[in-house]
Amino acid sequence: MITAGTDLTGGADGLVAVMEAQGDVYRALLGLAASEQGAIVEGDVSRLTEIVRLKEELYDHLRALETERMTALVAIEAATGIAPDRATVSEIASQLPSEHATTLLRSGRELRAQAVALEEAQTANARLLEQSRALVDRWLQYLRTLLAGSVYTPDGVTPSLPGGRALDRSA
Amino acid sequence: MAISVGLNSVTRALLAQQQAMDAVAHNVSNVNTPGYSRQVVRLAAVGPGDTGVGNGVQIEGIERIRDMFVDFQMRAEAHAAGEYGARASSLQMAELALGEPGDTGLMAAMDGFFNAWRDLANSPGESASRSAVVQAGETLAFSARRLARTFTDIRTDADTRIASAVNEVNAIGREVAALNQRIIIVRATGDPAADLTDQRDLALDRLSQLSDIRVMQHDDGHVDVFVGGRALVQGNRVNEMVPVRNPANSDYIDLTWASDGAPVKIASGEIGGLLQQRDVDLPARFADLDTLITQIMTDVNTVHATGFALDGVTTGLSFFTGTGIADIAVDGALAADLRLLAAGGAAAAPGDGSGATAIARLQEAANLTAGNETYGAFYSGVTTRLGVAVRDAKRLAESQALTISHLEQLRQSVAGVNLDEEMVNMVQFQRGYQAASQVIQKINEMLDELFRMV
Repeated sequence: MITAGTDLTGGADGLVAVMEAQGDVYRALLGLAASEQGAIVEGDVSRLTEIVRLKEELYDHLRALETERMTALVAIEAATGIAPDRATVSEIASQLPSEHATTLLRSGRELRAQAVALEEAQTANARLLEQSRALVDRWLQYLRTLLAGSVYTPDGVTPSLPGGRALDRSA
Repeated sequence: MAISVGLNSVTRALLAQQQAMDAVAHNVSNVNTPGYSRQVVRLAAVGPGDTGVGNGVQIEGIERIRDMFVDFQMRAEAHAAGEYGARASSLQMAELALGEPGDTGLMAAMDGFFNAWRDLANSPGESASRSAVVQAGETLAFSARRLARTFTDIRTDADTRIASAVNEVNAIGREVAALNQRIIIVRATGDPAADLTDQRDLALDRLSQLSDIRVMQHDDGHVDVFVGGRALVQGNRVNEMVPVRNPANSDYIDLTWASDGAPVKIASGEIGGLLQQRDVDLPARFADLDTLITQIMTDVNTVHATGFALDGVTTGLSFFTGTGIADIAVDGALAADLRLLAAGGAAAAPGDGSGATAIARLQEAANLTAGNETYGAFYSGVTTRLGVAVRDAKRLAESQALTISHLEQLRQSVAGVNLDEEMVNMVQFQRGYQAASQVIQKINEMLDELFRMV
C-alpha cells in the first residue's frame, strides 16, 4: 500500500504494481468478453447471466484497484506536484530515473493494449446486445399482440392457444 | 484482436443471430400449423484465422426439433387406436340394432310370440287368439329380418368405409412419394427441408391411423413405407392398393396390390379394424342370431306340423317359411286362414289347445348349445357378449385415445411451438441483455478513466 509520505520512485513502483494488477483483471475481462459474445449469439441467457456475475466481481476488484491507483498518484503528486486527475504515465516517467521510467512506460503500454483490446471486445458485445435487444423487443411486441388476441374474443371466450402448454391467466 | 477481425466476427455473429430470430419468426407464424416441428438454428464457432483469434460464430444448419422415438410410438399406437375406434363404432351399431333391453328388441318379440301361443292354448277356438299368434309370429319374423338387414347394412357400411380408407391410403401414398422426391432434391442443396418433412410426417401419422405401417428412413431424406411386408411407397414410386369385389364374400371388396394382384395384408389400423368387423366379428354375431332364429323356426315348425288345425283334419303344416334370419316369415296360408293354426294335439280334439301348449313350452326347452340353453338364455348370451365386446372396444379405444393424447403432448413438448414459452424466453433474453449492457457500460467508463492516464 502506498502512502502520501512515500518518495517518488516508491510511488511509481506502487503505481506499476497497481497497473499490473489492473492488467491481469483486464485480461480476465477480455476472456469473459469472448465467452460473452458466444453466449449472446447463441442466446444462452443462463451462461450470459453467469458471465455478467463474474464481470461484476471483477468490476468491484477494478474499483478497489482504482482506489489504490489514486493513492499512488497522490503520493506521486506529493513528490512532483502533478495533479492525480491530470497525471499521465509519460509525464510521471519524465520525472523518474531512467530504470523506473522504462518500467512504468512498459507497464503503461501493456495496460493500454489490454484496455484497448477489452474496449474493442466490449464495443462488439455492446453492439450485439443492442441488436439483440432490438430484435427481442420487436418480438416481444409481436408476441404480446398474439397473446392478447388469444385472451379476449368478440364473444367473450378465452380459447387456449394451440402448440402446447399455456400460462393460466385466470387469476 | 485487430479491429477488422473483431468487426468480421461481429458481423457474422449478427447475421447468425438474425437467422436464429428468423427461425423464431418461422416458429411463431406456424404455431397453428398441424404437424409443424419447431426449428432451431444450429450455430458453430468459426475457427481462428492467421491471427490465432477466434472468428465468432456462423450458421451450421437449421434443425427440426423432433423426437423420432415419440413418432415411432405415436404411429404404433395410432394404428391400434384406429382399429379399436373402428371396432367400437361397428359393434356399437350392432348393439343399437339389437335394442336390448327394450320393447322393440328380439327378446320382447320372442316373449310376445310364445305368450300368444300360451293364450291360444287357453282359448284355441277364438279367432282373436289365433290372429294374435299370427301377428306375434309376424312381429318376431319382422324383428329377425330387420336385425339381419341391419347387420348386413353395418357390414356394407364397413365395406364402404374400407373402400374410402383405401382411397385415402393411396392418396397419402402418392403424397408421400411426391414429398420424398422434393425432400431429396431440396436436401441436396444443403437445406434440411424441414417443412416438407413435417408435411410428410403429418401424412404418415394419418396413414398409421388407417393401417399398420412400417416406415424406413434413408440417409438422403426419403422414406419407404411398408404395409403387411409389402412396399406401399418406395422412394418416389407408389404401389397402390386396388379394391376388388369378391362375389364369394357378399360382393364386398378384397384389397390387392396394383403391382401383382397379391392380397394386401392389413392386420390393424382403421382398415384392419373394419375388415375384422366386416369379415369376422359381425358375421360371427350374425351367425349366432341366425342359429337362434333357425332353431326357433325348426322347433316351431316341427311341433306345429304334428298338431291339427281347427277342422281336425289338416296337419303337417309349417308355421314359418324361409331358411333363416334373413327370410323368416309366417306361412302366408296361415295368415290367410287362421283356422289352419295347429292348436290341437289330435285329430279327435282339434280344439284342445295341446298343440299350442306344446309350442308355448318350446320357450322353456333347452334346445340350443347342445341342449344347455333356452332361446332366451342363448339370446341373452349373444347380447351380453356383444355388450361386453362393445364396452371392451370402447374402453380400448378410449385408452388408446388417452395414450395418443399423451404422446401428442410429449411430441408438442419437444417439437411444438409455445407462444408463452417464447414470450418467457424473450423476457429472459431482454433482462439478460440489459444486465450485460449495464456492466459493459460501467467497465467502459472505468476504461475511459484509465485512457486519460495511459
